[in-house]
Amino acid sequence: MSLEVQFRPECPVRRLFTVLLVTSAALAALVTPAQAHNVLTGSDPKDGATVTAVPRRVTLTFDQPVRADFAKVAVTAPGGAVTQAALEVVDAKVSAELPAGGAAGAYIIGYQILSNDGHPVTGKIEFTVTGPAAGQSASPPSAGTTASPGTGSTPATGAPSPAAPGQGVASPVAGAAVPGTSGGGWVWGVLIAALLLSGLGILVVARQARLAGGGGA
Amino acid sequence: MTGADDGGGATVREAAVGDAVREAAVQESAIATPAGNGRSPGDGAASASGAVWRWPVWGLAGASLVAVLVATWRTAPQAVPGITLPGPLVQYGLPVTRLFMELFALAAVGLSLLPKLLGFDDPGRTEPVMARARVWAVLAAFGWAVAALVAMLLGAAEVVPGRFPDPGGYVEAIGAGQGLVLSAACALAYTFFGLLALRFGEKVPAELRVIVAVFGLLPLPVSGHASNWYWHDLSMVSMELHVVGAALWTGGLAATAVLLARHRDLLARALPAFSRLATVALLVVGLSGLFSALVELALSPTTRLPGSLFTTEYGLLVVAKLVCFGALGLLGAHIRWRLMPAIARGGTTAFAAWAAMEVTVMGLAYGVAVAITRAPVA
Repeated sequence: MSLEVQFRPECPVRRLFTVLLVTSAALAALVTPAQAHNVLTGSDPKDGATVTAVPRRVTLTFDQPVRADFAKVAVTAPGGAVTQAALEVVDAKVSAELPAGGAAGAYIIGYQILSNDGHPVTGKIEFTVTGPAAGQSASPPSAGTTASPGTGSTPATGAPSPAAPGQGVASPVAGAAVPGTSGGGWVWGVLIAALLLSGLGILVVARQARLAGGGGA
Repeated sequence: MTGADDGGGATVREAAVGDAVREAAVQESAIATPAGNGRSPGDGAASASGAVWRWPVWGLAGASLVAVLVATWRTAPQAVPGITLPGPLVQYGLPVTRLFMELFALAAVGLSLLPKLLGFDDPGRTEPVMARARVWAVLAAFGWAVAALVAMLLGAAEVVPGRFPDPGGYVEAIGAGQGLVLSAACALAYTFFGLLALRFGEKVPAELRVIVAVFGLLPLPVSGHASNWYWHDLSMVSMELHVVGAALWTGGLAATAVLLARHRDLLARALPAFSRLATVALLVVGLSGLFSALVELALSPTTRLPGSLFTTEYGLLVVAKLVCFGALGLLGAHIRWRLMPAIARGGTTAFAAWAAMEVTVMGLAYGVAVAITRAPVA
C-alpha cells in the first residue's frame, strides 16, 4: 500500500462531495416545491363523534393546503349507499356536502387527496347520527350545485369552485399556497435533448464498430 | 445490432489486453501466494470463485426486492368505501420500478467511480476491468432511463386510480413526475458520455461521468417526501446528500466487489480509496438520514416523536434502516480493519463474501428506503 495510492483518490472524493453539496443546494432552491405528506389533522364532525342531526357539510382539515384538482370525498350513508360528494377546497380545508335527507346511523366519510409530494393520501372518518335528518327549517338542499351559501359552520370564504376532476388546474387555492402547480412541461424538452444526445453517442460507437468491423474483414 | 457490434469490439479489445493482465497476475500470484485460486483472475475460469462475483448482484437485487415488497405490503392503505385505490399493478409495480431505477442508478454511479478508485498508473492491468465497467455502466444507464419513465407512467396512474393515466398532466402539475423525467434525461445524458467513453476510453474524464450520474440522482428526492415548509431547504439538501451518499457507497462497493474481487492486485489498489469514500459516505448517509427522518417525524402534526418511532409505519421503517445502518457499520469496519491490511499485503481473503454480505444489507436498506418515501408518517 504505497503512499501515492493512498493519497491520490482523496481529492476527487472531497471534491465530489463539495460539488454535490453545491449542486444539491442549487437544485433544492430551483426545482422543488415544498414537499410533504399531507395529514388529516381534524374534522368537523370529529372522527368517532356522535351528532344529533345529519350535518349539511363535513369539513376535513389537513396540515397543508390541499390540491383541489385531485381531491375526492365519498360519503357512505347508513344504508351503505355511496355518493361522491361535491367539494369545496379552501387552503387546507376540504368541505364536502352531504346528500340531503340522510337517515340516522353510522356515516363513513372516505377521502383521497394528493399530497404535495405527489402521493395519494387515503383515509376515512366515521361518525354516528342519532337524530333525524337536519335542515327541516332550512331551504331544501339542492341536488347538484355546490354553491350553497355557507351556513356558518363551513369556511366558505372567497369564491370556492367545485373541484373539477381532471387536469384543468382551476384550483382556487393555487396561488401561493400550493407551489407545485407551475408548468413542468419544460422537462420534456430536457428529455428530448438527452435522447438526441444519447442517439449521438450511439452513432459515434456504431461508426467506430463499423470501421473496426470493416478493417477486420 | 449496433449494441452487439460494439460489445463484440469491446470484448475483442478486452481479451487482447486481458492476456497481458493474466500473465501479470499469474506472475504476481506466484510471488505472493502460490496457493489458492489466484491463478485464475480471468473470466470465471475457476469453478470455485466463478460464481462469487455474482453474489453482490443477487444479494443486492434480491434483498432490496424482498424488503420493498414486504414494506409496501405493510404500509398498504386500507380500503375505504367509495374511494378507488390503485390496483396491485400500480401499488406494487411502482415501488418495484422505483427500486430498479435506484439500483440501475447506483450501478451507473459505482461503475463510473471505478476509474477514480483504480487510478490511471497502470492501464495494462486496469484497462480490461475498466472496459467492462464502461459497457455495463452504459447498459445500467439505459435501464435507469427506462425504469424512470415507467415509474413516471405508474405514478401518473397512481394519482388517478380507476381512470386512464394522463402522463402529460401528471408531469405538468406534479413535482414527482418532473423529477422522474429529469432523472431519465440525466441517465440518457450519461449514456452519451458513457458511449463516448466506450469509443475513446478513459480520455473521457471519469469525474464527468460520475457527476452526470450523480446529478441524475438529485431530482429523485423530489418524488419522496422531504419535509415541511420551515425546514424545507435544509431537509431537501439533507435528502440529496443521503441519496447521493448511499449511491456512491453502495455503487462503489458493489462495483468493487463484482469487478475487482478476482483481481487481488487491483483490489489492493482500489480498496484504500474506496474505504476513504465509504467512511465519508457512512457519516453523510447516517447523519442526513437521521436528520431527515427525525424532522419528518417531529413535524408530523398528529404524532409525538419518541412514540411515533414505534407506533407509525414510517417510524418502524426508520428503525429498520437504523438497524441496517448499524450492521453496515460493523461489516464495513470488518472489511476496513481485518480484511484490508491482508489484501494490501497481497494475501487471500474472503473479501468477496464479506462484500457480498454488506451489499446485501445495503439492498435491504434500499428496499426499505423506497417504501419509506411512500409510507404515511401519521
